[in-house]
Amino acid sequence: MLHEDITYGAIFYGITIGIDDLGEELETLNTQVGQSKGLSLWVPGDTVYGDPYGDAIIGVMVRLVDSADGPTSFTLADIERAQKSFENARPALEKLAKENDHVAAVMDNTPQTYLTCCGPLSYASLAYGELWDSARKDEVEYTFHSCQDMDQEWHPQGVDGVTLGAVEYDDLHSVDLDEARLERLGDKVAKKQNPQLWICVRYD
Amino acid sequence: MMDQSFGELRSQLHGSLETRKKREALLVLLLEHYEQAPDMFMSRWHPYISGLRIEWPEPFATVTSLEQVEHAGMLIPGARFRLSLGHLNEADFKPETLSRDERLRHVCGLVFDGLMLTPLGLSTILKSHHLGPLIELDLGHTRIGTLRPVLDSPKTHALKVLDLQGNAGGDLLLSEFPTHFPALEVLDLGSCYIEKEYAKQQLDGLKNLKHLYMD
Repeated sequence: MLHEDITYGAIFYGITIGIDDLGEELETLNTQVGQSKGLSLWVPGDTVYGDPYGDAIIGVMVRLVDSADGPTSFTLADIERAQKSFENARPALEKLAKENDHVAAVMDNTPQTYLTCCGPLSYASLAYGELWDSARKDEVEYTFHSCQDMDQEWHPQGVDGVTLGAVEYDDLHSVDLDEARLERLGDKVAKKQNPQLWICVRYD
Repeated sequence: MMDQSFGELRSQLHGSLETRKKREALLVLLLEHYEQAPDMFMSRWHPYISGLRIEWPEPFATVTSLEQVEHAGMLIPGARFRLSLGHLNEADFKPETLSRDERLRHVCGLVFDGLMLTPLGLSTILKSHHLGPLIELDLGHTRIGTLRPVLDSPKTHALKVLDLQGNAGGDLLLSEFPTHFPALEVLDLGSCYIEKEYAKQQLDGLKNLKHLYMD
């Protein structure tokens, strides 16, 4: 995901790679990763109207959410699938490292799950809770997480729950999730009968 | 039908209650039976459960009000519960009132995530004569500022789970954790933005720590 003019949020699994000094080599890296079976490059932030900087991720998408989508759920199983896909793509990553010194330099980075966003005026939050009508946001039991499309209209539904993380522009927020933590998150929103993990994206 | 339920009760009580699912299933069975036949529950089930003198896993289950904790405490004599209060409005959350409530005796876990909690308010709750030793404490997103009231309280020495998610910039006094929380198994410092190596150095003496969340 580079030069995206749509506002997206995502959960992405992989290794980080610094892109501050890459300049035009970023385009080469993007092409090379795109040709590597099972891998993709995630560049956070606004790379249409702004310059890419900070850290990008080479890895596997867990869930991609358009700002028009509204709250989008995912599970631990989705993360586990992405982890397996990443491990299956190791040979392609190693081949890439041989072709690209910048990739070779980050091969020891520990792969992690990240909450991230890209595109213009991007913001994404990761919530644990249940869907909630946006029109009733003042009646929430916990914290309301809204979703806003690129016309700056709220989606009819958001999420009422607790916040695990939030990112804007080129932020990357690592996410450490397991069954035991989900149980504790469930205790935080104990009034909810069927809480889930949700990504809420806003064009802000 | 009642005999069949009693058989199910005996089976559940004599099986393992280590998993949350099994404890919840038992609580549901008790709640349903009490609702259907309160007299029989009190005359047959309650003496049976009390007589077994089971050492219940703690916290046994999660409840969201003092009314619920009182009811659950009646259904399972001797059990203690996790009280989750994050849904309360600011106006409905009064630490002083909570601390005076004798139903706190059924509580060994407190979840305050999302509530605005001052050090004085937390100190007041922890000093409650009704509250016993805590096993779990969740201060996530409370903007508590300092953990001094927790570290000064003898009721938190046996904590196994401490959740401090979303308390960035607070005075968490990590260096005092190994001495004060020798039994700590789970520490959640998610979104506290503490440097990982620094935290690990400070927490080095936590010998029972199984999971440290620092995302």
